[in-house]
Amino acid sequence: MPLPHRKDSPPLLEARGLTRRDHTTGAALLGDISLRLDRGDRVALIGPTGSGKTLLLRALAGLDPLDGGEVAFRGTLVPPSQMPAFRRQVIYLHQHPALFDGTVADNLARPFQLDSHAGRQLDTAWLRQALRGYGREDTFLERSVTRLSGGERQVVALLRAVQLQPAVLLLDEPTASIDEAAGRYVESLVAEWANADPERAWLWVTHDLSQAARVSGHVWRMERGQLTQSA
Amino acid sequence: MSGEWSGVNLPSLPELRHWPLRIATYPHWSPLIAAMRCEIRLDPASRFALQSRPPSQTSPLRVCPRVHCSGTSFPDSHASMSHSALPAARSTPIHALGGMVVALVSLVGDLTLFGLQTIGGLTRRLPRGYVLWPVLHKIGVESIAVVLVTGGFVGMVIAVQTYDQFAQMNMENQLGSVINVTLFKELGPVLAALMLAGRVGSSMAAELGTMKVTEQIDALTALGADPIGYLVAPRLIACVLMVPLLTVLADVAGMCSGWWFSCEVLGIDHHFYWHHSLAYVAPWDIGSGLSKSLFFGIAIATIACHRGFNCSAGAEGVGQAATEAFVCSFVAILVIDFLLGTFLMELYHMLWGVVSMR
Repeated sequence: MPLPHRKDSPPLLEARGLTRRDHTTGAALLGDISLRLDRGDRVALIGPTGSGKTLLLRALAGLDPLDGGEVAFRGTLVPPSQMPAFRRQVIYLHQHPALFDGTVADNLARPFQLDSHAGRQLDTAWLRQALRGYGREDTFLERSVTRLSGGERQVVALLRAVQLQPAVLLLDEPTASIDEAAGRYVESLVAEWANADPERAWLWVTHDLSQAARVSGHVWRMERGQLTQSA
Repeated sequence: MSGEWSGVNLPSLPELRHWPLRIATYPHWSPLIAAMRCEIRLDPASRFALQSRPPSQTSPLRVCPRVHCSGTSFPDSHASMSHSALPAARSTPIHALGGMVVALVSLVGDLTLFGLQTIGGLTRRLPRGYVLWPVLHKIGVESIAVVLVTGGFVGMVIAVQTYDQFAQMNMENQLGSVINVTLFKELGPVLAALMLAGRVGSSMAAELGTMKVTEQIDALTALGADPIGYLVAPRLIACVLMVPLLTVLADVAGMCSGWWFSCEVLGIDHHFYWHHSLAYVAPWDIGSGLSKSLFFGIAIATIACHRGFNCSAGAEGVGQAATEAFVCSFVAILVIDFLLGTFLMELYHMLWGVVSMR
């Protein structure tokens, strides 16, 4: 299929010929998808349920094995040995947030235990400010994740990703389980992260067309494992 | 070519012949198909899908639940096929045994690759202290009580079981030798490892399995972690360090309990008990027991983490992973014990010139 190219500048994230099949049925889950995400791109990805949006995001983040294709970051192919470093820059946010056992603070601090984020520290001041924007007091940090609502879990997972200052965010329906006000907060949080560096880009999966119009300059559509580009 | 097919109305061979055919398998059976000649053998009553990919079509997939044919080459004219003309399904005990052997070899290979991947990660970077210490505490410190109890009772049980035989030969004063040699060489390491396989191995498999099922491992990966290096490597190091140390504790507990029971309850003289113990227990015996425990630790950690990482979905999957971790570790410990025991005995005989076991 044709590449959804828009610019001639070197892409921030580029995928070529991503192919994945269901090895049980042989059905094409991702059908030879090529795309490029340029610096500063804000792209929404829409499409019916089961069309392969999540699989595409996971493939871009190198989380799932593929039957074909390759992903390049800043023009360089990402070898398996460099995947952890690549994922430090390109973070996939799960549709159903996976939080670790412990408190909110534990979850937010956990990435800094990883080798890929070694030497960096939790910015508590920024976190407290961000939580106040969400209408939560500082004590929220000490709350066990088992006591969080679905929306709160979603926000914590987003904060955990955004604080790492990646170059690309692959957002899989980040506002799916939260109310409209919280959804707007999430949008502003992501926008704030992107505005801090003009290079940063995101690919935002949503079923809400009005949200797609708000958060993106381009809308891509997926259908049956195929990617198409719309206005 | 789509549709529900049965043995009597399969699509005609000429059309099938030019398709790359593949059988989509469902669990617990392995259909065989020789696509080139369209010789198809199917397990009766099994659901399967014939995937056809002619040049003009991309995915006309059909599930065919009603095929009752097996082990035959379809004739060009499918109209001549009949249910009764087809041979019976190939599902004999030999097939089942073959399947088990293949599964076992696959598991061993997979475990080996998993272990090598972990060791490879360790050669590149050791786990950080704040990741390693909690695991060391959980595996080591929290297992002390159970290991002491195990070792303590093992020492007394050996005394109880051997006293009568030794007394019949008026050799009860030598009870210390058999208790301590058995304890240090064999029962201490093995029983401590088995206990740890149950306590630590199952726990690790359940913990990692839960992380897998709840996508925590996936989330760690998405955040830039190497899950093997972050989750498996610390557990491997902890087991390699802690299982031998816990074995020492089990040995000491068994030695003390055996001595107490033999001398205080069975009335054996303290002097002779220790005299014979020191005469028969060589440093080699202690070393061989501890070297075994090192390998037991590797086996427990590798198997438990592997099972956790390959946990199937749901609560049932986590429980199954924990059970499999214990059972596989149990078997592995006994196999390693036998192999290492044989090797160490041969090595001892080779080094000190004693007659070989052969």
